[in-house]
Amino acid sequence: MAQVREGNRDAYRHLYEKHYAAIVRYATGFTGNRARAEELAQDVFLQVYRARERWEPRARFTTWLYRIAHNTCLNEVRRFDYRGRVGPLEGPEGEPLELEDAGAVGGDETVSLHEFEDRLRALVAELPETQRTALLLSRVQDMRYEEIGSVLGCTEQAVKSLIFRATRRLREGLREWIPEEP
Amino acid sequence: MDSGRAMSCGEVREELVALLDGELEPGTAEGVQAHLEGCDACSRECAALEATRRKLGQALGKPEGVEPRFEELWAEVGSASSEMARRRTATRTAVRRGGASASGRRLVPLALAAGAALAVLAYRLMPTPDAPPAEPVSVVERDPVPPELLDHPDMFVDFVIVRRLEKLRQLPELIHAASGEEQPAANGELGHT
Repeated sequence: MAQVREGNRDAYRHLYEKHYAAIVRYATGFTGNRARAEELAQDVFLQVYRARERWEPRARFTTWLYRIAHNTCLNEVRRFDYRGRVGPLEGPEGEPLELEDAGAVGGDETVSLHEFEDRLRALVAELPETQRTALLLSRVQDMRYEEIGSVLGCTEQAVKSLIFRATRRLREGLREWIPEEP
Repeated sequence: MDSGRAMSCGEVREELVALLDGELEPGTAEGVQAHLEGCDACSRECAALEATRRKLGQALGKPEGVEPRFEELWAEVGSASSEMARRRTATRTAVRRGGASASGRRLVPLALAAGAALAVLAYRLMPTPDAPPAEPVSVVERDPVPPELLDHPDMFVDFVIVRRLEKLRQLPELIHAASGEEQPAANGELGHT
């Protein structure tokens, strides 16, 4: 990032290629729209470059990057016409994405799998924004609570609480697909 | 958490997700594990939360076919009004088009009514020939708008906050500077009162 600050194109490209897919995953989870998520990820990296001189070397780059991504996604979903516009998980060509162990979700039928995906996506979209961000950073980005706290500007204890409440809420909403063992 | 005291089911359940994430202090983790070994209900809840975590990671974590588009991005970096910006606007329009067109039609009568109300208000506020001269109004020069915001007006939402935060950050220096120069006067005033 120090080289990016000086306008080094190759260093910027390296950062972009290293983190682009992760930002797309995060934005897809946050907005529920894969195509839009790719555009938002481009926006995020554009802002990274334009704000490169504000980056402080002592700050962790991923923390700074996800702060920008978080704010960009918030701006997107707070647009007056965006609320409730959550579709099923889709690939770049609009095809439905499938889970790795599809058969493990409530039966073998693809229909059931897509219902599960849609339900999950809707439940994630219904989470309060900070719970959603904390959950996605933890589950999708494998980020530690301490770093999530830095992104959200809160304590580790608060992050723990956010992720607990979000997971419990999803667990309640997915009871039909993930039944409690007897 | 006191590791010497047995934890209740309620306390344990609040720690389960953090336990699965490997984020608990060793003492607390031991207390939770000890409880789980003797409590079937909490063990089942733990298994269900673990399954939820795993499915969530699978469903949201790995969208395939993400193709980086660095050249497009780099072109936009160097160009204020690029093709990409136009296409993004088009995508936004496409994303919105379902609800926006219907809601737009619903808003037409409302917009007409609002326009009429504004026109009446503007007419009433127009100065009459006999009206006394208005008091002079001091005009505060605003900060110039950075050029990148002209390209991305949606950033204005955060920019106001950022600008205020920057002013807040400068506040200690301003207070320090002010107190350094005006301390005697301030003291003097306090002395009089």
